[in-house]
Amino acid sequence: MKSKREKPFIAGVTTIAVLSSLLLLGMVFFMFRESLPIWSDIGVFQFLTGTTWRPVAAEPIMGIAAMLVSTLWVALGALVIAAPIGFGCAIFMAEFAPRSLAAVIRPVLNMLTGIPSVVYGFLGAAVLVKYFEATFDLASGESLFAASLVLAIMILPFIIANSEAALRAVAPQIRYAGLSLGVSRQYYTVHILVPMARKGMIGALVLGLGRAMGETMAVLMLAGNTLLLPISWFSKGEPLSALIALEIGSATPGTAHYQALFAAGLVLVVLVITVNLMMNTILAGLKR
Amino acid sequence: MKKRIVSDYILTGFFWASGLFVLLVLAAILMYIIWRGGPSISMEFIFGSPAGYPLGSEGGIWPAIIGTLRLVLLALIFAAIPGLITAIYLSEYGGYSSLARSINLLIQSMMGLPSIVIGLFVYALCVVELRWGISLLAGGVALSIMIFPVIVIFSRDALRAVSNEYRLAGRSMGVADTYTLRRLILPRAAPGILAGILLALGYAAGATAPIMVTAAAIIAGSSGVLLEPVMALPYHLYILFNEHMSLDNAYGTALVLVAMLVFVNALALWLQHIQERTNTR
Amino acid sequence: MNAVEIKEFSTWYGKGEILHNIDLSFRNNSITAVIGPSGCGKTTLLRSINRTAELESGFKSQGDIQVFDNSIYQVKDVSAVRRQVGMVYQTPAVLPLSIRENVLFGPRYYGEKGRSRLDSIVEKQLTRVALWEEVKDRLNRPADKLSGGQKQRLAMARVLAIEPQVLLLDEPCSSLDPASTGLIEELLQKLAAELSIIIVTHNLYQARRIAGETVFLLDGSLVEKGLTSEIFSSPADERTRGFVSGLYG
Repeated sequence: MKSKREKPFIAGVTTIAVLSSLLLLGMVFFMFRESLPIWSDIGVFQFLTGTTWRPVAAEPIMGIAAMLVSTLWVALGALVIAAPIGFGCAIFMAEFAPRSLAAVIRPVLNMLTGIPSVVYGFLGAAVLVKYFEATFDLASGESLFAASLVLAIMILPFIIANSEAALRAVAPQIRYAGLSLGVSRQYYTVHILVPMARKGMIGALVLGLGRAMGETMAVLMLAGNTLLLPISWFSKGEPLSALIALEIGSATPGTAHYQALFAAGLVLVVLVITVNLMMNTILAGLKR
Repeated sequence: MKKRIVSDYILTGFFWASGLFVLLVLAAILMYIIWRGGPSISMEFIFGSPAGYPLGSEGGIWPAIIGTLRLVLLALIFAAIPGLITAIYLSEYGGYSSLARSINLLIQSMMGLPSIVIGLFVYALCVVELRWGISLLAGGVALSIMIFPVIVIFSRDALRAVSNEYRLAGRSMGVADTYTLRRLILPRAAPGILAGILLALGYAAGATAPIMVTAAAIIAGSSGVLLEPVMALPYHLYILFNEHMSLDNAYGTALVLVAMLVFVNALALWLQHIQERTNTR
Repeated sequence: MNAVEIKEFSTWYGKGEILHNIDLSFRNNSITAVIGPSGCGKTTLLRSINRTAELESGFKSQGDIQVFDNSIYQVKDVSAVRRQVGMVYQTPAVLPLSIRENVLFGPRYYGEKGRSRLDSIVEKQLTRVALWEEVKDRLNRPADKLSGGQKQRLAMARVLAIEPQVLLLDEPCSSLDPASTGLIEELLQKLAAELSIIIVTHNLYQARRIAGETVFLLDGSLVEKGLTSEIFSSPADERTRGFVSGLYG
């Protein structure tokens, strides 16, 4: 019943919903405004492809190619490590695991998402990096690889949960039709189940990619923080998120340095939102 | 056929290994933190203030615990009501309208927003332009932006999970939709909404990047003044390790932080379980 | 000769007993219909015969089922049982493959190779289900573009391609139009010359049209089994009379 008294309520609810959601657009706009001088003075291409970052020199040079490459390398590397284990675990839970075991793994995944990134970063730096240093006789064990490895563990729960949902969405009739032919579960899984859940599983990966690109603390503590263009997975690097976290506090507002950090932030936002929209498109295609 | 049997065994082994790997990772993380951090835990560590030189290399973490609680509470105050209202709009009023779909999309995108970017935005707006400085208030704002979409999505899904029969029953009796919402829908969605809020709280309590640029200080009192910097557990952990102050205390801090979050998460899971039980028959 | 022999067979899902102490046999080279009200255990009975009932968690069984004198619940290799006993389901389920690969899904698994060999399997099985003429020009197209009736015949071709000796059908026509239903009934009557067919059906007319023998199940127990003509005209059991009289009432 939509009475007269309801109308102002609905209007109020709608207004608040709209205003809160506009926050995102507001933030993007704000960052664009703050970084405007960079885009007009240095230019988009120059800023994205420049490999030198000297923001406080007498004549500042600012290009974020090294950080951009670091971000992508760390995130894609994490994906490469996490994908096989994530898919394996999702398939395990959807098709092979005894019920009781799946009922244990599910809350464990929740717990893993609940552990904050600074703890992952800390453990990675205190254990993994130290291990690399001792084993490979390195002066310092930080690298894009170390960051990828820890990020992989951080994004695993997301990849698993979303892939499992996609696998479980496959109609039971298909399962019966396939298995009643006498083929093994493994054969059915590889030839029918996974192909049918393919889109959702790719969506899960893309979601993981978005998370990995935006992650800050773990990469800050593990990637090594050098401003050089990385040449291999075992190089050190400084992803965009780490750059912002390390430098914003010391950049004087109004300077080109300050504006450049907003430009870097905007690039990161555009990257992550593009990835998320990509996933939305994939999932929308799935429903049809 | 023989080849097939072999490949089936290999696949099964791989699937099991992946599943067990996840269990192993969590067990290893928890056990390692308990093993290394356990010895640091004492009444003095939890309820004491940082001491020693450099400050923090000895003593306790009480101001950091209090600071984190204050930040989280502030974030909740800012985000809960608008979040819940947005969820109510999406689940009860928006339907499939293009406005609702746009809001949904914005919220989804916001969920994926890197937390450092939120920190950057709040730093520029609140810390610099509004001249709040590095402060509890700015940190609360940053965390509230971060948890807002989490609260919306969990509350929306909890509301949607309530059977439509109740809405129809309300309408068939001619009572106002708001009355049905208040008397029937919200109570049934309450455990789910609460679970979402708890998860959001845990998420905020562990977040480091947004507060390190807006609120956190290496050392601060526990005065609770809104426009002063605060200590916070995750940032304290970062500093203890990164500035090589005390590895033992870093493990102790990590243990306290993880214990708090595991507790909050377990509580949220339990509430979600209750939500599912009340809304399925 | 009996194709399937069920002896003191009971099943449970969790704690609920679905089938209670069934003793039943199905003849070779004939069609047997299984009828009974919804929830009487018909589908579970069918699924027990090719051991797909156990795909649902919580399944337990007791007793024995023999297919051509082999006790299938003592066999370790479930695959061999399912190959011997094929099953077609109510909802026509096509696998996410081309028409050709749908037919070849089983044969490839069982090691069939070589283009000409595979081609001949596809043609033979599709011809067997009277689908060849309709699809021979688009064998490599995705199978989900077919109509409901075509999908169901494709599902039959897919099962027949593994050369089962027993064919189970679970209400195969319930989602099809009368023309497709007629076509499938015709096919089943031809196939009965080669194998044993057991069909669960809600449609009593269908049972009368095609089945030599009919089995009536109620609440998980066997009530009566006999020649179809007798079950419908002069059933021995009062409950059977009540059920089939719905036909005339």
